[in-house]
Amino acid sequence: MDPLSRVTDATLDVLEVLVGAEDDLYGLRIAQLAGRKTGVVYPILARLEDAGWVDSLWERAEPSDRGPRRRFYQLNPSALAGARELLKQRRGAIWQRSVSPRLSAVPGSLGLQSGGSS
Amino acid sequence: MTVWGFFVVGLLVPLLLNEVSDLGSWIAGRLLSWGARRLGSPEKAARYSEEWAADLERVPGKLTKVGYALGVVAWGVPRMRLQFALQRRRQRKLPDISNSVSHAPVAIASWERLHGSERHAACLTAARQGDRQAWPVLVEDLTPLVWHVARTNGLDRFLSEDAVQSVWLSLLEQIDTPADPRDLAGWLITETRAVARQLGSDIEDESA
Repeated sequence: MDPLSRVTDATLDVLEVLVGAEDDLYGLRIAQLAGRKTGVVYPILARLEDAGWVDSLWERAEPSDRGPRRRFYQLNPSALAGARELLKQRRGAIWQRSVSPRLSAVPGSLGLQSGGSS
Repeated sequence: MTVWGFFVVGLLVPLLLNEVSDLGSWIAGRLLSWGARRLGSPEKAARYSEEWAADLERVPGKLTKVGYALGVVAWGVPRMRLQFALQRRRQRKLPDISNSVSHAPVAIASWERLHGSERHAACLTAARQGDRQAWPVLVEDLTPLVWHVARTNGLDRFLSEDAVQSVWLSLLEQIDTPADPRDLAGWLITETRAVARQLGSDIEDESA
């Protein structure tokens, strides 16, 4: 699991939903629960997955004639503590969803730290 | 006339609307599979076209399906495309540099007492020769420059982060350009501008 070097507010919303641990969460559902557009949520999920924070699996093992399968997302158990900590830090003691300004998140790779000051 | 009026309003219009909205979900499906193919690899294309098609079925209302597809294609796809490109480069390229053996163990790094472009030129030359200490120095010294160029070329914070990573990865890939190591800063600026253009100048609100 890689550390997240930048965490946007949208990312926090997504993590919040995933920590909530409702079963069978798929992209659209996560976007609805997080109150974010799907166009924003899929890239975030892809990032989190790349960083090892999130696992995803198909609804059914094999494609079938019942139509396209959903992809279910869940927080990697090893990321749970990190996600809770992050939410606590950034959302305060009660990190119930509220109006939120935004910031950002990318899996830290290469040890590239951005200037980040502007 | 009233009979015709009834016919038009009561039958034709709903029928037409139904046709149009069926067209809507067809268009949405086409858009999404086109978007998925732009993600840069056959695996990602297959995965996301199925995932999005499944989610599309659960978007309420036929016309909002088009909105869903447009959002995913216009906002999500460019970001994911870049992200996956970085992922692939990372997997392919990183081990080369980070595990490369230092050719000449140097007691005091050659760039230590240098400044500005001389220092960066020395670092780049050392990195080319496999010196593992040189690369992080370069990244640390010059990331603020790359970041600044990205920001002044219309990228928001989010995309600037991506641009910074992308530019350093390009340099890793083409470590033997620029020919003259003293041109490094200029090369980075040009590359950053190109990346910024490639990412487009869509600095809408992330929540848009």
